[in-house]
Parts: sequence; structure tokens; C-alpha cells
Amino acid sequence: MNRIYVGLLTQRFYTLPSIRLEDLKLKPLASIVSFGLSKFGKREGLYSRELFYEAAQEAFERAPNLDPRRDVQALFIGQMSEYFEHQGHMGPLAADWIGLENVPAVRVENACASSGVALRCGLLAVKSGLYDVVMVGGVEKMTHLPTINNVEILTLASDNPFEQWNGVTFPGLYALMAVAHMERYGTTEEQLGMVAVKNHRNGSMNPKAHMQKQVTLEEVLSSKPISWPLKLYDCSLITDGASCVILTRPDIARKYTDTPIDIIGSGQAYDKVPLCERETLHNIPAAKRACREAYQMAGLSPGDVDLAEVHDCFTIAEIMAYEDLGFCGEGEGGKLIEEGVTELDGKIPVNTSGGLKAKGHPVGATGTAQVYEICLQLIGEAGPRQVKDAEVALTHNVGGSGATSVVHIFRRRG
Amino acid sequence: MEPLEEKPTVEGFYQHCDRGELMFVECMSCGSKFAVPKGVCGRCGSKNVKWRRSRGVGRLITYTVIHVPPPQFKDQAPYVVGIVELREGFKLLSLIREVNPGDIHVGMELKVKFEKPNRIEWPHWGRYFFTPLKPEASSKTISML
Repeated sequence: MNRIYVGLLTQRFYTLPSIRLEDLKLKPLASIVSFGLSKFGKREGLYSRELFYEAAQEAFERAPNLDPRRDVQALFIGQMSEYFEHQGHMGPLAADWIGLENVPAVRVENACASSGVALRCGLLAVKSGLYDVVMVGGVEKMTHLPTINNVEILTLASDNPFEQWNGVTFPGLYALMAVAHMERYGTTEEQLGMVAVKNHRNGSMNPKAHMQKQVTLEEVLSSKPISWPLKLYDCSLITDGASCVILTRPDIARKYTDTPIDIIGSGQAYDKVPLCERETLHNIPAAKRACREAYQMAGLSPGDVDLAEVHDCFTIAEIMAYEDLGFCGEGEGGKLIEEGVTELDGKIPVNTSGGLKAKGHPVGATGTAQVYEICLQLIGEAGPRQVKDAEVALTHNVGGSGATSVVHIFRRRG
Repeated sequence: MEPLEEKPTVEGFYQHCDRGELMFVECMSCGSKFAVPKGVCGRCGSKNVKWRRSRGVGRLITYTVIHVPPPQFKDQAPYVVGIVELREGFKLLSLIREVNPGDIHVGMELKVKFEKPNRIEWPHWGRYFFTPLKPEASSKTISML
């Protein structure tokens, strides 16, 4: 059952940057030599700097040949907002806290796509030839604040005068998209709920996930309304956590690891911040553009992907991701989850980590946390949630209600 | 209505709201229309964009009922936010008020109303919002006015 979305190829897009695709095809942009993830959850008494330290420690332990102070030449760290801890200037702060030399240290902000974009920045730095070894990652500390304050800070990713000023929340913006999708395609609340059930089932096998208990469809459908039709269990978690990945030039990766993972495709796109300005409300055009660029660079199509970590900030977001990434046709996302195609034992497992839904969504950390899961899967360390013969994987990270999207494609090196 | 010479800006948009006018932007090059004031066309990139006044009537194309609000809207929850497609062909996100949530449906006709600003500190803007369009007056009623 190979459902390649033909529309992906026929949509009108901007001209891709003038890169010689022949040069890039099947030649990695950069290679991953190590990765780390803090425990995700309510991490009382620990702040961003300390959570990032925890993630970095794992990455350094996995690569004993790498000397952080000698080898890491730059840091790109994603963080969605300074307001959570009233702390800006996260680049230098994180670099100092994990013991790097006085290298360039940059904080990247693209709302919920901050660390996905940080990864892309690191990749561009390595590809430019100016840097051989770069660390990328992300962090967010959220649970120390009351929910109402988190709700407010999260709205920063929307347009202030035309969205925040009208009382929107993030569940609200995705609910608007959900209703548009339901009206157009007949997608049901049950189908949305199935995404939550799947991701909680996967999350229960992930010791680092925020939430490890499973949920039934009945529990999801009867959970309290947050922004109709989205209910509590349709929404990802407010979580503390950090993630990081270490990239190198492909030809020196084996100095630091026996299991390098090559990044063979990368795409990023922006779209209007205010939802009302988008061409369509029932999908995320920026994600379509971003994955098109990534697939083209990798010389692959949706049917070649063995597993994916997608941006399920809300259940509807995962359903739209199936369609935007070409795993099924327009409007067929609900059917795809119903048919079990994206289950752990399905044709294209999605969010084996538990996704943002169960693993949690420490906003700035999410992008590179998706990469962490991909890396575990591609080196065969995913334990009970291991996908057999995983070779090619994709990450899909979205900022705000779709104003940023960044997609990466990875391949296990032989 | 003739397009204005005034350049579209966020501040200007809300000043027009204070005068009971809902403005939208039209691109003189490609004809596309959009709500959020900008100096360039969001579709073709042309700087030849002008402001027009909308009649303020449209239909609801999607909506949600927000139960968990941000702090400034704490006292209004639950409240309805929707996206309205105005008759001139642009979309705008708005609060939907003066209607029971149970009576709201996609496709319903709405009209704009305005709320005066009530803050000194920034943001000091007023607000537009949408309410159900009242049934049109019969010709008999008009002749009596």
C-alpha cells in the first residue's frame, strides 16, 4: 500500500535555492555522532540551564572520543520564550553551563520549531565548511508556572494585534484548523482521539516520556474541553525538558562513533503568521514546502520513509501531517490512523516516542527531541518500541500554527 | 468605495476601527485581498497595495469555543473565536459575540461591530468583533422610515 501524494509534486512553490541537487543527492549534508535527552516531565528544582546540562551529559557520554571543550566549535540552541524563566541570552548561558570553550553560541527562536531550526542552522554551519563539529539542541522550562501563564506565553507565537488581541490560544488556533478539516473531509473527533491513544501507547514504552500511562478512546473523548472540539487529551503536555545532537562533517564522523547517522535532506519554509492569512486552513502549506525540499534533496519520496516523528502539538496536527508529508492523500489522514497504518507495527510508524502528546512538549526542545528518537531507532536502541529494519526516517517540526516548518530526513549509514 | 492613499499599518487599522470602519488591503497588481495591514502583497510581493473599507458582512468559515483562556480573557471564558470570510473576499479572525454557542454554525452570516478602547497603556487598541447578521428589513419597513 504505497500512498504517494501526487498533489505534493504538482503544487505551486517558490523556486528552491540554487543548489546543485545532483551534488547533494545521496551525499549527506552532515552526520550525527551523538545525541542526548533529559527526562521529560515536571522537573522540580531544575531550570533550563540544568536540563540542558542533563541532555548534554548523555551526548558526551555516548561519544567518549569527543572532548566538548576541544572539539565542539559552535552551539545552536532553540528556546521558544525568554518569559518562562525571565531569562534571555540562552546561547552563552547554555554553552557555559555545559562547559564549552568560548565558541559562537546562538539561541534560535522559531516558536515550537526552534530546535528543528537550530538543527538546520548547525547543519548549514557544517555544510558551509567553516565548522567541523557543532552541537545543536533545545530546551524549555514551563511547569513551574501556573497553566494560565503558560497559555499566555505560548500565544507569543501568534500575531499580537490580530490573534492574541482576539483572545486566541494555541489549542484555539488548532481547533480552528480541526473544524475546517472536519467540515471539508468529515474527519471525526474519534479519529482525532485515536491519535492520542496511539501516542500514549507508544509513550508508555518510553522511559523518558512525561506521561507513561495509556489512555482509552473513551477517556480521550470524555476529557474536559480545552477549545472545542479539542479536549484535554487532544492537547500535548506542558513539560520541562532538553535535547541535543552533535553534528560533524560526514567524513570525520567515524572518529566519534561507530554508528553515524547521515542527514540526507533538509527543508524549511515560512508562511503567514496569522491563520486567517493562509491559503488554506485545513493543512499546513509550510510543511508541504519544507518536506518537498527535503525529499528532493534526499532523492526520496514519502514511500521511502520507514518511520517519522511528527509535530503532534494537538491530535489534529498529526492528522494534517500525514497529508502534508504525503503519507496519504488530501483528507485521508483520519482514515490512515483508523486503519492502523501509523501504529508501531504499521507500514509507517509515526511518533514511536509517544510524540508531543505523551512524551511532552517542552517547546524549544521538541525539534531535536524528535531527532533523538530517530537516532535511537536507527541504531537499534529503541527497546520495546523498536521499528524493525529502520533505515530512513523523517522529522517534521512546526512553529506556531504553521508559520514555520522544518523537515529533516535521516539515513543510517551502512 | 475608492481605495485610500493612506498606507496600511496596524495602528492605522485600529484607528479606523475607532471610527467604525473595518479596513482591508487590496493589491492593485494581482487583485488579492487580505485583512492584516502590510506594505507588500502577501501573494505577489507588489508594494502597490491600498486600503479599502469593507462593508463588514461575511460568513463564518470555522470556529472554536475557548474554555481555557489567557489571563486577559479569564472573565469571558468560555467564548467563541472564529474566522470570518468577508463578502469582499478576505478572511479575518475574530471574537464572535452576542450569540449562544449552540446557535453557531459554519456558514452563518455575521456583521462587524466595534468596541472602543478602554486602556491607556499599550496595547491601547479598541476591538472589532462579529455578531449574527440581523434579518434584512422588508421593503414595507424601509418605506416607513
